[in-house]
Parts: sequence; structure tokens; C-alpha cells
Amino acid sequence: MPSFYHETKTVFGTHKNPILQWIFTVDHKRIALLYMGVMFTLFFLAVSAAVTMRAELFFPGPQFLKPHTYNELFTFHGVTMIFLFIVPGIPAALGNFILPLMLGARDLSFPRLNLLSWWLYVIGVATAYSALMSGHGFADTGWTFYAPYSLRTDSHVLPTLIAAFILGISSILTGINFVVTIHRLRAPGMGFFKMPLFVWGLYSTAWIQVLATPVIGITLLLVILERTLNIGIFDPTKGGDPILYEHLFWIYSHPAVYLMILPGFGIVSEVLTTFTRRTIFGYHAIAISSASIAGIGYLVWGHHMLTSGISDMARIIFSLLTFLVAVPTGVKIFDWMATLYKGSIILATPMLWILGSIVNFTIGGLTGLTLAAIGADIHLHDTYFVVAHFHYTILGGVMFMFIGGLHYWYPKITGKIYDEVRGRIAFGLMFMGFNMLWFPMFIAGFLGNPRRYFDYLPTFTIYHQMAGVGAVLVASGLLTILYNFARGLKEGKEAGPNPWNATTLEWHISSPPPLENFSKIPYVDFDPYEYEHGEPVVHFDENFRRVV
Amino acid sequence: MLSGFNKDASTFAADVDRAFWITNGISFAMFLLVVGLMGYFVFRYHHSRVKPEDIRNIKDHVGLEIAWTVIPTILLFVIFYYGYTAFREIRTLPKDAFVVEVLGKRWSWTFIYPNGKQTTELYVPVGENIRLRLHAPINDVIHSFYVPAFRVKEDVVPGRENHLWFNATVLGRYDVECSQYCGTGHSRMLSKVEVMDKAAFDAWYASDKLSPHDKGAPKSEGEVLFQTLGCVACHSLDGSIIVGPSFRGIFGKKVKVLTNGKPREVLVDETYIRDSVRTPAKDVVDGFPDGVMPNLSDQINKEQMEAIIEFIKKQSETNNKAVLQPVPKPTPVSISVQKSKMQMAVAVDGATLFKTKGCIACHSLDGSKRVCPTLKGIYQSKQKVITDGKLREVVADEAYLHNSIENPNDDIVEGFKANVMPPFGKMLSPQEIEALVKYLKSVQ
Repeated sequence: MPSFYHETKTVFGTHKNPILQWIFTVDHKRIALLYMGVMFTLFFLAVSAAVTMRAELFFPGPQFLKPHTYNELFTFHGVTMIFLFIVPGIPAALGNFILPLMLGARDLSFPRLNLLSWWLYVIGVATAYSALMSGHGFADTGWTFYAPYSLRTDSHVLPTLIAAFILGISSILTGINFVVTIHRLRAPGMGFFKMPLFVWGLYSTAWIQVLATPVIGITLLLVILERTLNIGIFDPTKGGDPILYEHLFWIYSHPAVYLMILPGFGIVSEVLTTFTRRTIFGYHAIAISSASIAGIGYLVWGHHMLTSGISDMARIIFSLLTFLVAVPTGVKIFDWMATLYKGSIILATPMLWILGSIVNFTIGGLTGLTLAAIGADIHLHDTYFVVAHFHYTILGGVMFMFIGGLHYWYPKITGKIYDEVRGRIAFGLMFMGFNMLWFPMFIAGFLGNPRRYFDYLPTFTIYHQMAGVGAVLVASGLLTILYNFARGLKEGKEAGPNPWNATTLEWHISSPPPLENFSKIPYVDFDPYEYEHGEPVVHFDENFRRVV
Repeated sequence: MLSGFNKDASTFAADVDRAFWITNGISFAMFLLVVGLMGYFVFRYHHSRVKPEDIRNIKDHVGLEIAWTVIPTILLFVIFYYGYTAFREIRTLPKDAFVVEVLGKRWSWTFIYPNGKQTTELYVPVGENIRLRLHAPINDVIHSFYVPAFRVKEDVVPGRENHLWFNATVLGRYDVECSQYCGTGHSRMLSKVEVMDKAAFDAWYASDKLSPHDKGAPKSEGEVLFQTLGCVACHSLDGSIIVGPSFRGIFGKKVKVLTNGKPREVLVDETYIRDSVRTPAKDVVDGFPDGVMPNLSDQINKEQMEAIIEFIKKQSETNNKAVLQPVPKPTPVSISVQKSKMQMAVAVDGATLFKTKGCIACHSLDGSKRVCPTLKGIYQSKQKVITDGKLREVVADEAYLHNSIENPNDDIVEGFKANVMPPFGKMLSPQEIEALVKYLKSVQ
């Protein structure tokens, strides 16, 4: 059967030119690959920025960068990683590809809207990066755009703000598309509690995208209005309030971190069941905890402002609420541990990434408790401790899950198998490098090294140098993955429909999938992870009728 | 490690550390549990040790789910409690404290004492409650005042007043860092807190010395301003480039500047310096970033401007020798100085407010006319004002002064413009306005 690489539908009908066939495609799988192509290019740019900063910080004192350039670099790194990479992240790339396959659907509910999302995303990227070639250089505000700094700096803030606004719209459209698809296009028989847990993660995420993103869009629009029309909203000289900006910014940007992590949690559940050859432990608890994290996540933004001068009572309440988010997160981790119990564990590359991500994320989550403990936070706020905590959750957690997911679905997407040895080497490099890069920063932060420092007091040198070495390991790990994936396309073995013996619907169709995925829509009257003696229970014939 | 980091240098450092280590202890136990279980299971149930028929598809266990919901919740409340108690210590501002104004601006710290002393490092007596009132100029950006050794931090936000307090328990010099990103000079926005013996502090406080380490003649006004206004953060005196051009040998030199984007050559003379302080963006020296230097005109008066010009001139006269004394190394504080009878001011001081809130930029106190009416002898004087477009005569009594500070545009003195003065009603506390009125009554 020809795969989606060989035939496609575009928004204008048919094209002969293969480039047009790609950029105007309405096939969710092609759009997913379009996203991946742009996103990972940007990802490696942002990694280079990070490595450059680490090189600058290897010795105290100025090395080869100017302070202003350094500030532009960390803004570039943050804006790219957050707005252009990890927020669209797993949903736009893997979600787009896998979601309809898991639901037994032929595409998302609104394929053309999906293409529009990608185009808006590309326009957003172009707008953000236009600041690099024009005006006074890239924004130097940090990815948080705090007012009044973002109102005062003469660097090119406007394009970046407009870009973030456009990206917000793209994100909202994807969210709506996913919510509608999950409600309307589940295969007959598939109730909400028969959906795979990756779908649950995407579902919770989609709601955050729809409900929280407008807030950041409006907030950034207000900054644009204030900069261009001199309307006083955040600028105290015009009667505005800088603290208002912080509130509005974090009302979105805190839920946004759950928006990043929840699909990652979904990947963990998928990979874990496949490589333990047994059903998930506590399906309902995991599904509901995703939804409750998304809910409680809205109420904790104030912990980003615990030293901003908001009232002491507000700080205490936000501290307390923050601890509540930890409860459902803990439930998930314990459920995953219980899933390992009495399974048959295969340490394939995706499984290594997922186990590694659980270790990293546990450290990231637990240090979050230290930061939520309000008395300790007063000391740790805005130090490297926060930077380390954040990267442990997002790089060590989400990114490890993302990479695990990419390895897991690589055979489905490409039809080939990558080299297992290279895969494990890459994991080893990244896991060691990552911990070497970020763990010393906890110590540096506790000892009083503030974040976003172009230079540091000499007493912190050792921590920065360990981090520098770790950064090299991380970068080489990433390049190994890239190399492994590229070689796999050429010399990989044919994967077949189900190389991992997995159970969810995407493994019942050929790899890579045909244009509209399912020739007949299957009837789903079974749970997503049904194994019997380590073998999948459910099999279909070629007409997607269940073979008993 | 930063100096004094482990000395319990403030009364609540130990509480913060306790909250930190209790949290980390509980966290470490949870981490060991999760990773220990994971390691054990991965070993025990590795596929090489498990026969397919031994795999158990356990779907759920209500008891376990309840256990790992309830037990962590209890632990979280324990952590919250210790975090809260440390926080309560940090945020319960004592009423009987010595109050110092802190002005954080790009990229320097200025400390203003109740008697008007201004310093770039903070000097405090040991064992006293010190309360800091944190300000940033209204046209500046957010900073954060952070003393790691004291475990205390609070943001400095333009347009509002934040507070923090500490009681330092150990003599020494401790690092002050800005921890909220504020631009090019963020990582250089450093200072020191020096905790001094009470007697030594009192002696310095009563003296006319800028810092307790100053020896010899007091510094010129220009040099004091050079430091307290924050020029020192960007302009060096030794020819090196920090952010802006160095002042060494700059006077009388021809420099290339960009005026409205066009290059031209100008001579650095008094007029040029004056313009550069008042409208820094007008002629930016080629090769330096635009929009970095704040407009300082609302922070200095005519005489101070002259003093600054004199000071910059001097940097060229002495050619190769920097005029500024190198910052002396900290010397042990002598205790032999007699204790002064200085009163620790608790109340808000109108004279200080008059300077720090920018009133002084527009209102003279000597009868001279600036942008706004002079305030010399203002109290009980008769003023012709325009109210709602109609001219009337009023007596500047307390009520009038109050209202003029809170809502300046209600009554505009004849001959002056409306909408020049910002409404301070939202920016000042009632006590501060009261203090200002009291101060104005005394200016005769």
C-alpha cells in the first residue's frame, strides 16, 4: 500500500511540485513532519546559543562576548526554546502525527485549520527572527519581557512580541483542533476512559492552549500598544503598574509549563507499558491527574512573584496552592513505578529515555518543593537554583520524554529502525552530560549566584566549569541522535507495522501509514493496553475487524 | 563561597536554612524511594528474569492510590509549615527599626540615611533592626536587592515602595547582588553591606565622611555625585570602557557622535556635558549603545550639574593620574570612637523624600524659578491659582499643600503649566505626604 510519503492531498487540490505538495498539504502526518523540520532546526540554533553562553561563562570575567550580546543570546535561547520549540513541541510534532492514529481517525477534525496553524507558526518564526537582521539587534529582555524593561530597552522588542502573539494564535488553533478531534473523532466504542494516555495528555494540554494562551496574547499586545502608542498600562511614569504585567504574564506562562509537560507524561505511559509488556497501573488515576494538574496549574502563577512585593498573605496562599500541584504529579510517578512491578522490562532505547526522564523529572519536581517553601524561596528566587529546577523539569523531563517518543515512533513515522547501539550511546552521553550540566547549578544557586548574569563572582567558577563540560556532553549526545536518525533512514531495517509489540491503534496499520490511515474504522471495545503473557491481546484483520 | 555565607549572618538565616534542609531531606527520601524502586524493579523484572506467564497485569489498587495521595500531601504540609515559619520571620517588619532608603537604578545602588547621608555601600550597626525602603526611580526598571549571606531578597519596583528588614548578627562585609534582570550592567550591579560595631557606626554616622573608610579630606561634591548618582557604574576614570565612554581625558577632546543617526564631530565642552546629562540620547558617542543612559535631569539641580562638570574637567587636567582614590580595602572598624547621641530616626523624613522623590528637580528651595514654583516660604503664603479654568486666590495652608501633592492639577499656580507634576497621591503613603508637608512648613 502506498504510504503518505507517496500521495497526499493539498488545500488547493493537486500539485506536481513536491515542495508545494508538502507546504500545502492537509495530511496531519505531513504537517507533523513540517513542524518537526522547522522546530528541530530552531532547537539546534538555540542549543548553539546555550553552548556559546556556557563557553563565555567558563571563566569569570568577560571572555569573548559583550554583556549586551550575552543578554541577547539568553533571550534568543529562551524565546526560541519556549515559544518556538517546547510550547508547540510535543503536540504539534508528535501529537499531530499520532493523535488521529490513536483515535482510529483519518485525520484531525479540521485539516485545513491544521495547515493554517503551521503557516502561522512559520510566519511567527520569521517575524521573531526578523529582529536578528534589522534594527538594534535581537531583544535583550529575556523571554519573560518584563515591563518596564521591555518598554525601555531600545533593542528590537516589537518583532519578538508580535511573533509571540502570532504563535499564540497558532497554538490556540491547534488546541481547538485537538479538543474537537478528541470529542468527535474517537473510533466507535472508544469511550474517554478507553483512550490511550498520550491522548489524555494532549487533551489536557489542548484545553490549556485554548484557555490560557489568549491571556499572553493580550498581554503582549498591551506591551506593543504601550511601546507604540504610549498608553500607560505597565509603565509607572504613565500611571501603569509593572506588577500587573507580571501577573498577566504568569497567568499564562505558569500553565504553559504544564502545557509542555502533560503530553510528555502521556509518552511515558505509552512507552512504559510497551516495554514492560503489561497493562498500565492506575489508568484512571493517571488520566484524572493529567486533568487536575491542568486545572490546579492555573492557580499557582503567583509563586513566580514571591519577592515582587505582592502582599504577604498572597505569597502564603500561592505557596500553599503550589504544593497542591505536586500531589497529582506524585500520583503519576508512583503509578509508573507500580507499572514496572511484575512486568517484563526491556531496556530498549525509548525505555532508557523514559526511565531517565523520570529520574530527572523527579529531581526537578522535588526541587520545585524547595522553591515552593516560601521562606527558602526568598533566598533562592531568581538564582541559578531556579534555572536548574526549570531545566531539570523541561530539558531533563519533557525533552527526554520527547526524545524517547521520537525513538518510540521513529519506526512508525519512517518505516525503518534506527541503530540500537548508537541510540544507547546517545542516551548515556545526554544523561551524564545533562546531570553534570545542571546539578552544579543547584549548588551555585543556593550559594547565591543570581540568574541571567553575564559575569559571576569568582567563588562560583567551579560550578560554571562543571556545567561547561556537561554542556559539551549534552551537545555531542544530541548530535549522536541526529546522526543515528539520519543513518537509520538510509540503512535501517524495515520496521513492519508493530516492531515493539505495542497495543494502541497506530501499531495496527502499516509503517509508514497510508494517506488516510485506516481503510475501515475499527470498533474499539477494549482497553488501550491489553496484554496477556506479554503479548498484545487485540488483533485485527485487513478490514479492521477484531480477530478472536 | 561568598564571604560570611555560612556564618548565620542575620537573625533569620538559620530559619531559612532549616526550611531548606528539611525540604531537601524529605525530597531526598522521596527521591531515594522512587529511584530505589525503579532500580530494583528494572533489575528484578528485567525480561531475562521473567517468564511470560509470570507477568501480572495488575490494573489498580485503591489502597495504594489513597496511600500515595494522602502521605505525600501530609509531607507537603510539613514542608509548607517550615517554609511558612521562616517566611514569617523574614516578613514581620519590626516597628522599632533604623530606616535606610535604598535607591536601585541601572546599575548602581544608593543608600540614603535619615540624616541625608548618601552612600554606595550599606553601613549598618550590628544587632540592630534595619529596615530598608526599596525604591527605583520611576523611569527605571525592576531590580532586586539580594544579600545571600542574610538570606533575604526583595524586588525594587519603579513606582512603588517595597520593604525588607534584617538584623545582622556578625561583623563583616557581605555581598549585595541585583537578582532581577535589568539589562547590560545587571551582573555588575553589586555592592556590599558592612556590618559595623555600633560605636564605630555612630561615629561615622555623625561625621561628614562619605564612607567609614575615607581618610583625609572629604570628597568634592562632584565626586560624591559621580558615585551616588551611579555614573561610576558605566563611566570609568582610568580610560577603560565599562558601558559608556571613560571620563579620563575626555574634556576638551573631539569625539565622533551620532546625532539623529548622522555622524558628526563635536568638542566635549561644558555645553556638551550638560546636554549629555539632560538629553543623553541626543548625541551618542559613536560605538556606544543608544538609550542606555537614563535622563538624570530630574535628579540634579543647577549647582550639582556644575559640580559634575568640574569633576569631569578634573579628569582631563591631571592627565594620567586618576583623581578618584582607589576604593580602600576594608579595615577593621575601630571601637574606640565615642558613642554619639544620635537618634535613630524611625519616622519618614520629609527632607529625604524631597530629594529622592524628585521634587527637587522642579521646585527650588531658594526662591529661584524652575519648571515649577519655588517652595521657599510657601506655607501660609498667598497664591493665585487657576481652578477649573477660573482664577482665584488661595492661602497655601496644610490642606492646600496636601492636595497639591496628591492632585497637583486641581489648582495650577498662575504662570505655570498644568500636567507637569505627576499626581503623587498614588505613589506616596499618607505618612510620606504628611512628612513632606511638615518639611515644607519648615522651609522659610
